[in-house]
Amino acid sequence: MSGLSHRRAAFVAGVVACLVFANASRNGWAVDDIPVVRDNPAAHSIGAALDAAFSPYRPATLDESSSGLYRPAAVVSYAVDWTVSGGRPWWFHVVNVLLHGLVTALVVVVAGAWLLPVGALGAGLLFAIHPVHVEAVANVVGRAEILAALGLLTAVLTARRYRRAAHRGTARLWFLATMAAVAFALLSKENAVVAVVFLALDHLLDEEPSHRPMAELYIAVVGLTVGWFFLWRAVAGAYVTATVAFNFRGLSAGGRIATMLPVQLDVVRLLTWPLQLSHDYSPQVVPQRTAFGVLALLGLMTSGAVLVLGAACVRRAPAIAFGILAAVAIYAPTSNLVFGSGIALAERNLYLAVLAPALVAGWLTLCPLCLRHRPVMILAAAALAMVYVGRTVTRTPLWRDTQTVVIEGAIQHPESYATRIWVGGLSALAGHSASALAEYLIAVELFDRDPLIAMVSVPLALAMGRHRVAIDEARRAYDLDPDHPAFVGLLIDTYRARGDSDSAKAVARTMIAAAPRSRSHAQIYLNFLEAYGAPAWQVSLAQLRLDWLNFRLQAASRSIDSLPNVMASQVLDQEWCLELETLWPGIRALRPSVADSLAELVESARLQCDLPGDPVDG
Amino acid sequence: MSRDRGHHEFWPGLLALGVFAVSLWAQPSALVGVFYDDGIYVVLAKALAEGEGYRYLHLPGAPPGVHYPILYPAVLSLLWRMWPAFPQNVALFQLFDSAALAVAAGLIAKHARRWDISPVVQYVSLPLAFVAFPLLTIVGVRFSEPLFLALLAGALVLADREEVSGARGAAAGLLAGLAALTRSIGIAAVASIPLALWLGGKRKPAVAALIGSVALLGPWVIWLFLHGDAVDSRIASNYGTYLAAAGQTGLLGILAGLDFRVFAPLARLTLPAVPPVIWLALAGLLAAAVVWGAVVVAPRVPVFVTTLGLYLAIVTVWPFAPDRFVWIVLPWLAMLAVVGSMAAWRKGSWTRWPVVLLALAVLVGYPRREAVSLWHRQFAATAEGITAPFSVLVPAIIAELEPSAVVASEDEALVYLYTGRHSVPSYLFRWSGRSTTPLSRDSTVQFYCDTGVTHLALSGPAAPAAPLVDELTQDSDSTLSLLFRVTNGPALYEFRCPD
Repeated sequence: MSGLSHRRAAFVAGVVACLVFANASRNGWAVDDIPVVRDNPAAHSIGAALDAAFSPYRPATLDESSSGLYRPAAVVSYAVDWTVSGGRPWWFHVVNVLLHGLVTALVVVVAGAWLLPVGALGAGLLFAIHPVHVEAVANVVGRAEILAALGLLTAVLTARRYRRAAHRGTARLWFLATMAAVAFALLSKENAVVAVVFLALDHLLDEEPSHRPMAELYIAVVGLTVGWFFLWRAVAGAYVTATVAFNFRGLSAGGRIATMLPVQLDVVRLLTWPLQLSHDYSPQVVPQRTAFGVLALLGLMTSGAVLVLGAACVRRAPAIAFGILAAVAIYAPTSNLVFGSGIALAERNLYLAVLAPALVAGWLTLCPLCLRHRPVMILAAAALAMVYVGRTVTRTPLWRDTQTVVIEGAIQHPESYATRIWVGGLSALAGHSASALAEYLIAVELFDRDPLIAMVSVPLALAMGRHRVAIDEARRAYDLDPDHPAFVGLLIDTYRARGDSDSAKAVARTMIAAAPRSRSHAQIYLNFLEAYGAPAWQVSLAQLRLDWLNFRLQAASRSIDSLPNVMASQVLDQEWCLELETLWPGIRALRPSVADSLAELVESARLQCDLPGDPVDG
Repeated sequence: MSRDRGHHEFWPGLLALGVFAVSLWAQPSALVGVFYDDGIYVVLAKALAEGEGYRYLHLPGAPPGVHYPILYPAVLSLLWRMWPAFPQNVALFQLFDSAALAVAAGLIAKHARRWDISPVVQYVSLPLAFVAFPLLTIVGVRFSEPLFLALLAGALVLADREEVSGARGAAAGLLAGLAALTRSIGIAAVASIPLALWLGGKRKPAVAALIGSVALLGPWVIWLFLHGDAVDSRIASNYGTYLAAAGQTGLLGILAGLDFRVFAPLARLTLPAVPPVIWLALAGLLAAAVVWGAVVVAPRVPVFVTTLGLYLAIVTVWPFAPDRFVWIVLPWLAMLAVVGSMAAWRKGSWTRWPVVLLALAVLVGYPRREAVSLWHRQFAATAEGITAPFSVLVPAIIAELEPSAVVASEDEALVYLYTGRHSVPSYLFRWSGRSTTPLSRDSTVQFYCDTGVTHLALSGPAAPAAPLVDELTQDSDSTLSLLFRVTNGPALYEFRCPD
């Protein structure tokens, strides 16, 4: 291939990438595509996307708290697609495929720093056809990965131009272009936080001397990253989502690492021999572990060996060093080894980590040993390419729609609790309540640490008259997260549905005593008392609590003023004490004189209430 | 390029990065407006962003803004347009202020290269100064100081060179003008940069700098001229022009009360708590070190020394408390103190003892204070403390009061921003020399009536308007009726105009 240039190699690899994934255009909306794109008004027009530029990527459904994700560039890209296509999914998939082709071309150009065009083409071709890319390319929301990769690789290339710029003015332009590319990557997906590592690796491994002070660029990129991190936290709240971290629920940091070390074997397998793919790595596909076993040791050794290999190649084979170390960097934030980032493993997170096998393949294309056995190597490469292409082409249609993904998941991983929930949901939608409930209960059997299952299983069980099941499930969720108002409300409703008002009342009491300053708990308590037909004094006290917590201070003050009269006309018992104890800070703050007279009433009734003194005195 | 020089090359960037990260970390969980001016800046930004003009939207009648220079609110208004959801968009303001302080840090470090001093002086004094708790407090609220410092430092970087072209002089003048459009005291740079350039024989850049500044400030002066009288004279102390304030104090009033406590904030920050006589002696030593440092570097950076000198002179003369004005130039003062101390050390044995004494005093006083501040986030304590009563008042006002209500309150801009209700200051005063005197009860009540006040909010029993409230509630025919009062906490009253 004497006429092959890097540019032509990039074009060829990009076209191959598009061709291999072309059948993705027949896919529709699947799984996360639905809330993030199809049902998300912000993704339906460019104006709406820009208006939502400072909104979380997707709101959580349970309690309206943020999902913790911030990807405005991805949302804008969906909005552009929606505007162009009128919301037809095939167009979104075509754009994903084209973007994958573009990223593949950039991989070739990046690899061109160390590899001849043939080698760079080899790297690009492997990147183009790699089956682990299916989840990122064939599923619309995988675009966040592709866009982040696009930004990162562009930043590497513009930083190269900056380093090599002869004139100050030109250098300044490439400096700004690098910053823009990093910003784009960060606003596309959070794992671009490692941008500075990418730039430093490329700089370290570049044989050409730098004409520009790189420290300034690194400082600027780190500054940009710090600013983005602040903005991300401000927009989307906590950076780790609570609702998807069930893999590690109840585990210590050691347990999390013990769980994740064996997963590193899966990561290496997925990058090198990705024939067995899965969209699901939830429990028990990835079982929780509390102790370090043989698999953890193997995972540790493998991870260490990969790192050593990367470091060892810095001088001898910089292309391999870049591929491996960049892959480690991009995977590290989602590895759950340093901190818990949520899901144990997602194949889309390995999108850019494919740089490792790709650049190894590119280097092998040109290594002396391989050149000596060229026919054998060509045959081996062709065989591998056929296997990879075959796997990619057959895997892509599985992302056609949610049902296909779920059914495939159920066949592939019957041990997955998450798949059981999905199957249950589909069964419920089809009107098969019994089998839906059965699936939910199997999910609990497989993994009983996810309280969210109760949000779907309990209403279904109640609707079917399976009160015992509903109570067990609601109790399980409540025990796992007793502070969450949704689970408290669920348990109270379940007891009430069975006619067990005493148990409902006990739960309500415990709830309000544990969180007397929570508005949502106070509202649940008031709702319960009204529905339960509690005495008027108790309802009015609950209303008073809610008024106080909602700063309806006039109404609260009026209620407090009337309290001595109400109390004087009642038989005071321990129930009063329980109510007064949680209300006391509000009464004391709003009407200290009334508090004093109430304290006298309590004392004259010889009740043993635990009423603290003036909070100011304390 | 030697290794040391290599390190020194990227030192400004490294310092800026550190300052940026620390500033973001230092942002408190406080409401906007707890330090008064910060709330008004944001109200003015909102007015500009929403196309209402440069007006105090929170005051009934929305009079034009003539007290606070326009640049900082104008910048915030751009950010507001990008993200119009208040208070969520405060995060953008915080990012901007932190970035501005970081840029200022980088420019100050860059400018300090021309001081021709050991880089170690910078490496030690600048990071310590930028993490000093007064600076962290300032960058934690929406004050214009970080932007002002960045512009001022930029002007000095351009002007303090051996060779200054006319274009550079004009650019320095423009930046000085922008600094004056950010904080009125930037007028010091507007005057000092052309003056120092002229005295240094750089007449063309001096004229260019003057023209640049004047051209930029001209429209603002015209605005003040046109609208200076539009603000009710009873709130002119807070909202009127500086000329109006000067008119109240009177020149003689200022001079009669003239004090030289301009270095006191620096001494309070660095020196230990010792008996007053010793403290004053140490503070004098500290001031002497700063002055000595200025004398040492003056030949190399004359524009800087002239500007800082004029700046501190203005702070000494005008009636406002010097602290805020001094805190923002703390990095320069810290470096000058170190340079002065080192020069004194080199001078001879008789000057070494005071240096040792001062160094020991600073070592005893500053590190512990600073460590406690950083460890316990005390730099945020004041803002968060003032937030506490408003975190009751704000939701109560939203829940209880009609949208058309007008609330008299402290931090009235805060009340408007978070509740949407018009608000006016509850405590009215006028300058009297360097101090203030409250307006009479009748004048204040008349002001409430004239502005349509319907409610009065107090943050607590120590609020400035509390004595007036006590008086009014004790009247037999009271104009105030209590809606609620939290023990030793905030209170809300309904106000009725007397017949």
